[in-house]
This record gives sequence, C-alpha cells and structure tokens, in this order.
Amino acid sequence: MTKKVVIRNFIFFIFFMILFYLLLIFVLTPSLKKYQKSKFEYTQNLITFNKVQNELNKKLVEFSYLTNETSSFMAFLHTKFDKNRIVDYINKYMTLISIKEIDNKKFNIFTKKVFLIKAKTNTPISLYKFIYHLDKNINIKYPIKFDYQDGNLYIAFRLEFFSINQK
Amino acid sequence: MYSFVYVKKKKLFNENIRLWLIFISIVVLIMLLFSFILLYKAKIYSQDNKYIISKILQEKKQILNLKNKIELIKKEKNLALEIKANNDMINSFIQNIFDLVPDEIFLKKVIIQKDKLYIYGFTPSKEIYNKKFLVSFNHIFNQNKTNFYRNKYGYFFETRFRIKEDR
Repeated sequence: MTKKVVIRNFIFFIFFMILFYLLLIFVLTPSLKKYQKSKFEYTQNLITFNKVQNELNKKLVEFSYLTNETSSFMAFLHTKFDKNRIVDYINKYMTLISIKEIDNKKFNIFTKKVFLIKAKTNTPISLYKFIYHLDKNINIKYPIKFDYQDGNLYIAFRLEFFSINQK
Repeated sequence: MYSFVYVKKKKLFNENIRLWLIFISIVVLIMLLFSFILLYKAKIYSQDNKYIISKILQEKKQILNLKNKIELIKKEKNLALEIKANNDMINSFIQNIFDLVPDEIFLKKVIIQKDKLYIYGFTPSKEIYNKKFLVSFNHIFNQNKTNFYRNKYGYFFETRFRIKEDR
C-alpha cells in the first residue's frame, strides 16, 4: 500500500467517525430519548390504567351487589306518594276516620311527608298487622293514642312517608 | 495500426474510495433507519398514551359517578333499615304494653309518647292494680305516678310512666 492510500484511508476513517458521532448525537440520541420518554409514559399510564380499571371493576361489583341487595325496598323509596294507596292500605286493616298532612320537608336526598291518621278498629291486633305490613318507606311515629269508646278502639298516630328526590 | 489495449474509462472514484463511500452510506442509512424506527415507535406510544389517558379520564369519571350512586344507595338503604327497625320496635312495644295488662283491668285510653306512657283505665281494686298491673310495668318503665278515682266499678286510674329506654 502506498503512503498516499494510507493517508486517504485515514482521512476517510476520520470523516466516517465524525459523521458517525454527529449522527449519533444529533439524530439517533434525540430519537432514542423521545422513544424512551414515550415508552416510559406509556408504561406509567398503563399501570395507572390497570389500577383505575381494577377500582372501576370493584365499584361495579359493589354497585351491583348493593343494587341487588336493596332492590326490594328501593322500589318503594323511588315511588311517588299516592294518598289513595295509603287510604286503601289503612282501610285494609282498620277503618280510616281522617288523614291530614301536617308536615312536608324536602331534604338532600329525600322528601318527608308527615300525616296524622285517625282510624278505628275492634282490636289492637289490626294495628300490629298494619305496622308489620307497612311499606319500607313508611315510618310510624309517636305519639300513638288509643281510646276505647262504644266498643270501638280509636287510634291516632303519625305516619312519615319518605320518597327519594327525583333529579 | 491496431492496438491490443482497450481504452479504459477513467473512474471517478477508485476501488478503495468506492468501498469507503459504500460503507459510510450503509452505516448512515442504518442509523437513519434506526432513528426513523425509533421515532415511529415513539409516535405509536404517544398515540397509545393519548388513548389510555382518555380511557383513564373516562373511567375515573365512571368511578366518581358510581361512588356517588353507591353513597346514595347506602343512604337509602340506611333510611329503609331505620324505618323497618323503628316500625318493628314500635310494634313490639305496643304489643308488650297490651300483653302486660291483666284481664281484670280494663283500659280506657293509652297514649304512647317518645319517652312517656299514659294509661287510663278501670281496676276492680288497688291491690289488683298494684300486684298484677304495676309490677309487670315496672320492669319496663322507670317512674310512675298514679291517681285513683273511686267509681261504681272499682277505681278509675290515671298512670304516667317514664320509659327507661330512649325511643
């Protein structure tokens, strides 16, 4: 090999090395950094996504369990108040004398209506049955008055009706 | 004249330079290709990231929505359970009161309040009242105050009890 060829090879080698490093620094490294950053973010987001999905699944299971568990009485709470239904219900066990609304309050999630009921019957057993079969949204409240007159038992009590506020 | 030597075209680069140039070109191409692949992958990760982030936000919104619903159902459930417990308690309380009254005593009026109980009735004698009626009621009630009024059947009594438990 002549000296001229050796020098030329050396110059090419130097040129190659410079080009290689320039490409490495200005082209490959930024691409690699961008790739690594995107991949890192993707991995982090994937971990977060899995956590969020697990939490969502747990909440769905809890929601479904609660819905099934409470479906029997939820229906009552979500029905609108029907005075005729109550009158029929009272008359099923006793004889209604009067029904008077004495309070109506709207709370955050539900509305409460309070009624003063006066009814008559022959035996307190009718009242036991009436209370036992009350809907899950009806609350009997004190004071409860019993008055025995002319062979009839007159009963006065308060009933609270709860209904969930419709949004 | 005929010559046996062909005229050779003079090449721009000799063999050695060509090899160098080919080598450098291949290396540069590989580096550029590698960089392009990295950028392409980074772009795919970036797109996936956007999708995952939108899914995370969507699922977080769902979780929040479910949490609110679960909280509401729990409140509704507690309300229904409270109503049921209250009605059962009042029912058994009323039944207890009437079960405690001995056959000899005739009740005229009963008023049940949150913490008080008023009983009005007839007793043939104070002894029967004290031994059969008051003894059993004293197990449940704290204080009592009784007034007797003599009449043709025996005694008309007015008794006021204070209920032990907070109802």
